[in-house]
Parts: sequence; C-alpha cells; structure tokens
Amino acid sequence: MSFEVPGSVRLDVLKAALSGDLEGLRISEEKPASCVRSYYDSFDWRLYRAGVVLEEEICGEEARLCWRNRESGRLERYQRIGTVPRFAWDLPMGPVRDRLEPVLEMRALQPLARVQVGSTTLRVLNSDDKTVLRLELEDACLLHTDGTQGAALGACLRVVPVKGYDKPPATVLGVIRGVLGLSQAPDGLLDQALRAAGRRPGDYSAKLDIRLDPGMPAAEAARTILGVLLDVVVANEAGTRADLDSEFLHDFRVAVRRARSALSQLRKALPPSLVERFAPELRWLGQITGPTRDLDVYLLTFGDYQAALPPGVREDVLPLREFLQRHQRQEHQSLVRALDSGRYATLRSAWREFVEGRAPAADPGPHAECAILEIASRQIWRDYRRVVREGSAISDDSPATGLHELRKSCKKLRYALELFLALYPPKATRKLIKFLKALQDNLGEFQDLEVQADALKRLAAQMMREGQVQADTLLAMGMLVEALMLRKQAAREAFAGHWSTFTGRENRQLYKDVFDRRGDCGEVA
Amino acid sequence: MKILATYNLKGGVGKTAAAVNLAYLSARDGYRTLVWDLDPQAAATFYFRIRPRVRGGGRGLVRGRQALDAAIKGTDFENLDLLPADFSYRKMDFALSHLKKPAHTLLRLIRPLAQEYDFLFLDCAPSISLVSENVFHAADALLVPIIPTTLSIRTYDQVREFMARANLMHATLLPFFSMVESVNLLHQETMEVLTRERPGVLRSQIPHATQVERMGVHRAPLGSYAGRSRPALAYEGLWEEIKTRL
Repeated sequence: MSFEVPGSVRLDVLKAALSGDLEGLRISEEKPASCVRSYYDSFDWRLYRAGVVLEEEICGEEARLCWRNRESGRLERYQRIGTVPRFAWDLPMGPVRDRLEPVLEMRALQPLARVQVGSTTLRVLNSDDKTVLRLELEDACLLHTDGTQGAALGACLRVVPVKGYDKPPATVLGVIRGVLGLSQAPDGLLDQALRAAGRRPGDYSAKLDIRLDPGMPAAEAARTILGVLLDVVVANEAGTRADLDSEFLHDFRVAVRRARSALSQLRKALPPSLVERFAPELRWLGQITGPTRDLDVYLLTFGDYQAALPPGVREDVLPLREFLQRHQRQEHQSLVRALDSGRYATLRSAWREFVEGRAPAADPGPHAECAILEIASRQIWRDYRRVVREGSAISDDSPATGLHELRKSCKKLRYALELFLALYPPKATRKLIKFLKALQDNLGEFQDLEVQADALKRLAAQMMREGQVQADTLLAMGMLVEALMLRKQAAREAFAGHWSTFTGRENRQLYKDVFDRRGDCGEVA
Repeated sequence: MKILATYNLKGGVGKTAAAVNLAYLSARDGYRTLVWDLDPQAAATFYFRIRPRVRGGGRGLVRGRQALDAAIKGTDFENLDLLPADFSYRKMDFALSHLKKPAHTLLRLIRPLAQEYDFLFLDCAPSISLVSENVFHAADALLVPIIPTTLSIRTYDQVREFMARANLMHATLLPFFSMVESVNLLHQETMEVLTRERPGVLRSQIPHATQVERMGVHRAPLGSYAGRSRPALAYEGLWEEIKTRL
C-alpha cells in the first residue's frame, strides 16, 4: 500500500510519529539508498495491460531487472542482469525471463521513462529484532535522456507487510492515517513518470477501436474507419523502418489489408474516383511489405521447426536460419526504400487529406447518405452467406483450393465484423467472432502448413543455387517438410468438426437475428 | 518449483547452515524461495529470528487441518520465506504413520505451493525415519553435506544403500564436502579417496570457519553480514554448481 507524502512530512516527522506507542515494536532505520529506475514495455503496452511494471534498477554497481505488481507496487520477481535485452529470449534463464516470455512474446522492449529514486527504509522490529513490517520512503524525479534531472515526482511512503505478521501493519497504518493524516496514493511511480514524460499508457493497441453510430451516413463512417486505419499505419511506420520487432510490420500490413477491405465493402458509399485511385495503391503497399513479413514468419516459427526435429539433427538446420536472416535484412532494405519513395508519401498525404475532409470535391457514391448500419448489415450478411455456400460444398475429398477460397471469404467476413463492431451488441459480436475465429484458425493452419512446406522446398533450391549448403542441412529440411505435411493432414481432417460447429444452430440464428435485414439502401447490385 | 533437501543421517555436519545460506542466495538471484525447517531443534528458524511455533503443530499440518501457506512467515530478506519448525515435529513420524500413503504425505502438502515458490529447501533432522522417507519422495535433489572423515563417509554410504533398497533413487544425490579444514591432512586424504571412488561429489567445498558459526550470533544468513568472506564465497560457488546440476 502506498501513501502520498506532502512536502511537510519528512523522515524525522515520520520517525517521531512512529516513536509513540507501537505495542512493543521498535523502528530501525537503514542507510539511505539512491538508484536509477528505467521502465520498459512493448510498443503495444503488453506489460502495462497485464498489470506489470518492468524496471531496470541500478543501485551502485548492481543492475537488476524487476517485475512488480503495478497495483500493489510489490516486487514479485527480479533477476540480476548486465544490460536490458531487446527481446525476452535474449535474457539469461531466470525468474523474470520465465514470467516475461509468455507476456512479451516476440515484441521488443522499449524504454518508457527513467527516474532517479532516493529511498530510506524503516524496519519495524519485534522483541526478537525480527522485521515485521517495512516502510519505504521514496523521493523521485524524472531523468532526461541526457541524464539531467527533470520534474520532481513527489514523495511516497510504501508500506510493505511481511508475510505471517498481520498485526503490526494495522498498528502502523493507524499512525500513518490518524497521526500523519496521509492518504493513499492514487497511482504508482510508473504512472507518475509517464505523465511527467507526456506518455499515455495504452496509447497504442493492435485492437481496432472504431467509434461508429448506427445512423451515421455511410460516407462519414467510411471516413472514420479509414482515419483509424491510417493512424495505425502511421503509428507503426517508424518501428517498421527500424525493424525493432516483427509486429510493427505485421500491424502495418493488417491495417493496410483492413483498409483494402473497407474500401471494397464501402465502395458504393465512397466517391468512385477515390476508390479507383486508392485500391491499386493499397494493393501495392501489400505487395512491397509481403516478402519481409514472410521471412519474419519463418524466423518466428524457426524454434518450432527445430523442436519438430529429433535432437540429433536440430543443429543441422541452423544454416537455414542464417539464410533467412540474411534475406530478411535484404528484403527489409527494399521495403524501407519503398517507404522512402514519393509514391508512398503521395499515398499517405492523399489518404490524410481524405480523412480530414480536405480532398478535392468528387462525385459522392450512390450510398453515401445511407445509414451505415444498413450497409454494414447487408454486407456482413452477404459475406456470411458466401462463407456458408463455399463451406457447404467442401467434402472430405475436396481439393485444397476449395479450402483456400473459403479461408479468404472467412477473412473478408472477419474484417467486416471487426470494422463494424461498434454497431452491434457486444455480446453477440463476441460470440460470432469466437465461432468464426475457431474456423479461421483451422483453415489458417491448413494453409500455413502448406505454404511453409512449399517455402521450405523453394528455400532449399535457392540455398543450393546460392552455393555452400551441406547435405545434412538439406536432409533436415526434408524431415521438416515431412513433419509439416503430417500436421497439414491432421488439420484437414479436423475441418469437418470445425465446420459443423460454425454452422450449428446458435451461430446461424445469431447471424440471422443480427444481420438479416432488408432496407432500401443496402440493396447492392 | 524445485525441491531441494539438505540431509544427512549424521548430525552437526552443516545441513542447516547449507539450507539457510543456499536459500538466501536463491532469493538473492530473484527466485521466490521457501525454507521448511523440519528439524524440531529449530536451528534454521532461530537463524531467521522467527519463533518456532506452528498453530496446530506438526500433526495439524500433516493432517491438512492447517494449510501450509497460513503457517509461512516472511524473513528479513526479499523473496525468502520460512515455514517454521515446531517442537511437535518430533512426533511427526507418529502423525504420518496414521495416514494413507504415509510416505507421500509431505509431497501432497507441498504441491499447492508450487505456484508461489521457485525453490523449496527442506532442512531435515538427522535420522532415517518416515519423515526422511517423505523427504526422499518429495525432493528433486538431496544435498548431502559430508565432513571428510571416515565415519561421515560410512554414514553417507548407509544413506545411499537405504535409498537404493527403498527404491528412492529418483532424486539427484548431490553430496558435497562440508566443514573442511585445509590444514587437516586426514580431511585432504579422505576427500581425494571419496572423489575418486564415488563420482558425483560436487567440486565446491565449504570450509570450517568461525564466520559460519557466527550465524548463531547474528541470527542471519552469512551473505547478509560477511558476504565477501571465504565461506560466503564458497556457498556462492556451491549454489552456482547446484543450479547447473538441476
């Protein structure tokens, strides 16, 4: 529990207040300590959202990475380190890495803020001189990147109970509240530091948050949607250029694909000239970012590849990783060149002009004034019907192409559900997305495994052309292809089960209730 | 959670000092660490300045009337907790013998703590009893301090034989030399013979030193008051070596 400490309450005031009747307890003061804390999180605030504070704490010569509970401020884990790594997997094995890896996954750690903390600890001791409670008085200020001191963050008093000693906290808390009149601090040092540094926690999320109103004219809704998507593209641009981690490019690409999907679904609500202009440019953006993303995916799944091989041959496949890394760097450079091009700059500024209503006047689309709810419902209903039609035609021995087409249609439906989420009851959309996601995961796995197996064959050929590949590496890659094909077969066999869940009564009824509506506007030829 | 037990049939060989100092180092590494002082003599409990009392006694714990977690006390050190000894632990064998599967009771009681702690150190009383059999079942590794004398080696062999006979060899046996006197020729010779004849003895040795004995005066782990002393560094070496063997 933390308390805000006003300037008038100094250490001696605190000690004097606690020197009264503490029922046989006494206070012992430790030497004051000074340390620098640097806070870290991923670009999408994974740690903050998980209720965790990750800080590098340097006191004297010792640096440790600390994992705190954000709400209680309690230090739950720590690990001594040299420097803060970029990825969780770069951290030596230890208690923080164990917790960090599943939360952070493939995202890079980025510094958020740095503070200097002066602290004094008072120990409350019983008659055996055993510590039964700790009081930590902290005084902090923000540190600028050049190391100079910035804004003072105020003092705070943290009461750290010791497990199994329940009585002393009550006595001491009585003094803190009653005698000193301190009140509980509303938030921790991280939140204060972020505020002082002008950062807003959670200011980026890969989840879409598009605010639409059911009666909104479709043209205006389209502008809102494309505006949110442009913000996502722009937010991820710097991280994509610097290749800080794979997810900047991933989120960038997803936003571009969603924009393409929005453009196609709302084409009748938008000026035809605008659709004609943007559609090929967005397709181009998808193309120039594809090769790097493919290589990112192979590198991210490399660990799984290795684990799929018998222990004796796991080393043999390492040259493949080097090959992938080398080509990823090359493709990334071409990607950066494309992002530096005039074509991209023009697209970006035209996109911005459109969402801000500064684009040159153009003929509006025929459905520009229709209510977005009608357009969206009609569109989702049509997408859903297509999925049902295509899926029902697939039998146990249908060729793979049918499943691939179905996967694409499911993706369209998913994009539509997500773009227009705000228009429908959250309980219904949550269920609809859950059903669809289960089907998509199965179709995605089937497709990914096939693509990966094909890619491995292609990469093997490419590695041979580029020379110097050992037979052992090629043999190990052959084993990988075989393992992928087996898993692909299993995914194919699981399809029927997923399909019957998707077409179950509950899901069918939901689509019918929520989206099957007739209106004047939604009737699209 | 990894469970490490300091055990030897012989008393006064440095079991408790090892449990307390290794647990301190484990906590300093950032691992959430618990020591369970199973010895009714309560030496580990004394070192942490905690009163040797558990509500309901050993019987309450093994019968599940009192949750282990409720009896745990925080020590003066971050990440380091203690489940205190209680004088009633001397009758724990009797309490255990009335239960179903008596040799697996401790493991069953410990299991719920697996989410709370990364390392559990069991500090055992010097005996071969139902409690020690429970410890053998529960532990991932048995840390056996050996004073390099003929008699100590004899008891170490007795432990090994007992474990082999009772089919209890799933735990890694990690013997190490304890209370070693560098000027004692017999110690040196005994260590040489034992290392040669019984592979698996850890390289790290804990010297006989007054700093270790002073733990009783400071009532604290060695690392907290003499962190750079020879024995403190020896425990650090031992801890690093143990981690590589788990």
